[in-house]
Amino acid sequence: MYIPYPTIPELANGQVLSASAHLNPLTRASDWLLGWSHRPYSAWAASVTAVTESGDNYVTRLRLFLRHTWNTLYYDLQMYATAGTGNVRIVYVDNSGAERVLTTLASTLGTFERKTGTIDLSVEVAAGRMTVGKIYQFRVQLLRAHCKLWTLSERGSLAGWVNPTDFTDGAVSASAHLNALRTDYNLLYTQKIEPVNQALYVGNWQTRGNDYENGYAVGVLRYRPNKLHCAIKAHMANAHISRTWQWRVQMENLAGVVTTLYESGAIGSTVEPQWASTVIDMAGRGLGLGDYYKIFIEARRYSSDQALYLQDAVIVRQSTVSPGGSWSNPKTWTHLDKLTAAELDKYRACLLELYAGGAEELFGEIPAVLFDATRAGMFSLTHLHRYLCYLPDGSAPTLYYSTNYSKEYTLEAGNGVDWKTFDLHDLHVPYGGAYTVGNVMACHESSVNTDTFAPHW
Amino acid sequence: MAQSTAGTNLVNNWHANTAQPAVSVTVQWDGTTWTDETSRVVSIEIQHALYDVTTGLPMLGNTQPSQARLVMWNADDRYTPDNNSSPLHTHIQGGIYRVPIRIDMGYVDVVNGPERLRQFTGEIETASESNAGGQKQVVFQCVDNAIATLQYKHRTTMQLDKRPDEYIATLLTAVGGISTNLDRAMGVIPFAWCDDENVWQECQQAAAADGGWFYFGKDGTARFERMTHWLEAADHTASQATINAARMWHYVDEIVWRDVYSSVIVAYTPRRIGPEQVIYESDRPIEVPPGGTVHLTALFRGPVASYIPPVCYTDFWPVTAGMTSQSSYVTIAVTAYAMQADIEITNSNGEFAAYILDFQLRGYLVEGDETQEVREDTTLDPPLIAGKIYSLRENDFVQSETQAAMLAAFLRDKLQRPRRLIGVQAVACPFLELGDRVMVQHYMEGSAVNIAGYVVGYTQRYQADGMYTMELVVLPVDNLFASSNYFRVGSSAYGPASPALFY
Repeated sequence: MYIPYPTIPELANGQVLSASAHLNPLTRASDWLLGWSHRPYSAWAASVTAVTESGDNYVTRLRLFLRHTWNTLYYDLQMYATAGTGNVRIVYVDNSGAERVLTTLASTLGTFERKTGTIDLSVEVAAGRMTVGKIYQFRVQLLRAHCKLWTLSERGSLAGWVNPTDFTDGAVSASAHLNALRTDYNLLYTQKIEPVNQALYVGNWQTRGNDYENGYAVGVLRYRPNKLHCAIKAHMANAHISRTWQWRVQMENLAGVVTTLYESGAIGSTVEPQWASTVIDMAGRGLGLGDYYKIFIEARRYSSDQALYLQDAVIVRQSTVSPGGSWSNPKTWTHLDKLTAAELDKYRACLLELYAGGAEELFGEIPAVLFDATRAGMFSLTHLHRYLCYLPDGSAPTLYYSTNYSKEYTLEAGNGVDWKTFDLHDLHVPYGGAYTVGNVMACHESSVNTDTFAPHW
Repeated sequence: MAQSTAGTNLVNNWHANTAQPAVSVTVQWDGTTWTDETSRVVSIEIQHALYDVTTGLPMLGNTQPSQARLVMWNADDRYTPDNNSSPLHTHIQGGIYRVPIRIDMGYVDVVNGPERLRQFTGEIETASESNAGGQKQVVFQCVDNAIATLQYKHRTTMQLDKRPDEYIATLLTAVGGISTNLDRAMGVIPFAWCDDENVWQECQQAAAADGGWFYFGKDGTARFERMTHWLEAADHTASQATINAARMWHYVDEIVWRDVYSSVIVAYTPRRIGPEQVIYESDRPIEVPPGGTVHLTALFRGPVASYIPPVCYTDFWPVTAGMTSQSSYVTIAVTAYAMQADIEITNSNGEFAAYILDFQLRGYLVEGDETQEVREDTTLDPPLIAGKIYSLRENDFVQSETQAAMLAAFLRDKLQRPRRLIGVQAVACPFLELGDRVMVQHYMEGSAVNIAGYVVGYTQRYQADGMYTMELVVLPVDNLFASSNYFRVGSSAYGPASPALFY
């Protein structure tokens, strides 16, 4: 992490309680986690359209990379059978290079049905087939099935959570009261703060039609109030102010309902590739906190017969920067303060907001990065961690950042097999800002530069 | 904490008119058996101190080891190394140095007989003989159990987020043979390490970074007392002995301006774990003979949180002189510490020498940021003194704003006022220990004045067939802490009327 999380000392009965040493670290932990809860967050890529395999043998239709961190693997997809019983199975390539099946899902329906569940990866770790800190390739394989993947992600676990202390004036203190707060804050930090920040695969797109085509960039997010920043980079052949194009942002909820969130007017094309962006208020869209939703960015030519090249896109959830629920910032304590239940209970209030079901719930979810195994593409992400881990092919990727992504930095090329790490610290990529990486097979941000990879091809 | 007097009548006997001293001195000449040397004692002086005119208040973290000086009768040359007929000759023929010694002192009870408590545990550091007018004596200069730490250089791996007491315990375990009584420290030291440094100094620094102090008690136990220690234990909150006019013969009341400052500055240097990088590179090929092993010490570029075991063809290239790979014959074992590593390279090929080219170690350096400061100015208006700043800058273990803020505010309140120091000479109270709360009673214009204070200096003197006396330096309780009622976890209650929160 760029910003260190405070160390909270454990207390024992008999100790004189200190503002600086004991209580203020709790306050700072609360501040830290609230800030993280409101971070800008890039969507992760989902299937643009359903992938299909009608044959009787399993065929890999989707590939994803995931840096193993936590042991609960969550999947959320829609599927149905092309005939009889259709199957979707989730596999990964283990430390030895062998493909291992994690789960097989079945459907006999003729229309999409949703399949969600979790897989305990601790079995794989215990058997030495999977290691924390290694990047693994996951595959979605189909047999007589259609499939739309929403998410494949690792989730942290809050096992060990204790009910935050409810303080009462007049009650005799105990070390357990404050240590319970310490336990919960630290648990949230270790299990709900992602040391990995995934990237959105965008790819490249060219449209010659006058109608919106299937989604060009598709990302999935979990809802939290309240804003959505979307941007698109396009370039029209033989650009001229009179040759215009148009773009829109649509949302699909889990029920399959698609609504248009934004549609631009006609945009005159320019000689240089151009960015267009919008910020959308997501309030009132029928989404509850934590609900998954899919965002489509699409474009079409408006008054032109020229090809429109879609080069890049950004989908970033933004916060209203207004703490939700019953959040009340715990105070910074000073010498000779009195320990009232009202002040101390602010820790409980904050913890419950950060916990599952709270208004500031930390989702603690690391989605796998979807990529196209056949070619390098564009990815977009927000800058939260120091290191960019990327998988280059034979040509050098380019990192675009700063205002309108106008600065470029050429990254080291590779061989399509070995991951590389780049230190973003010295490049002055804006903290919390969006940036894009072009011509790369896959990438993610990591808080450490030691992510290694398992054999994956 | 005051020593236990359970089963004795020392609480009454120490100030009884008929008090008769009882002394025992035992020495471990052979390293295992305690030999009684009491009959040869001419005089004893023992000094324990948390306060020293050169080092100031104990909160500043500079305590000194306790010392004892024994004058011993040596007319028969028992303690003379050159005396071949001395029963100790086998053990002292090379000189008397670092010989364990224990001194127990107390009084004789009419019912129980001698009742003694341990007054000193340490080692004889020097023994000097004298012969004046035919009176042969030897003087033992002794240092308490700190002597083992004073002479022990140690190196550790990087200790992450350890409380000072945990770090001190690690160091003392390495020294070995030291029993401990360590308070749970207030906070944590983000990065602590030792690189062939003196353990005593390291313990002092770690304690001071937490506002506490480190010393060895009468019983030879290593003690770390946190900054709130005197607010917590009963020995410090209730008087353990009253020194009144009937028990003392000398009283001095001095106001010490030496430790008065208008501001306190505590500097801290934040540290963090840097990215993976090369932490050591060998500048030459390392030759390992056929079937042989070589050892080398790699000094890192800086303190290292952890290292990565060397990987063949990444971190080293084992070849023959003809550049044939020897990877199947060469093994490298690394024992790493925070600043260096012992490396053992073995070549199992009995015919060809192996040459290790481009040897390097990778790891994670602990990087230091710019040093920052927390400053606390006097809250007294008008200030008692202007422009005199106490600066705490040289403690490597102060690494966070949390540590610095607590220390600065705490020390500001201690140092913004002059401190009275009460000196008394009285009959010896054998169960008192450093930090104990005592009541000193003297008379002013015919009225008794009681002054509660902490024992910060304790010198005992004993003369064979003479008196057993003590000289105390007492730091009055008044104004030492901003509140007399701080919130204690486990006993204080929450609420608007709760006891006050500490710094």
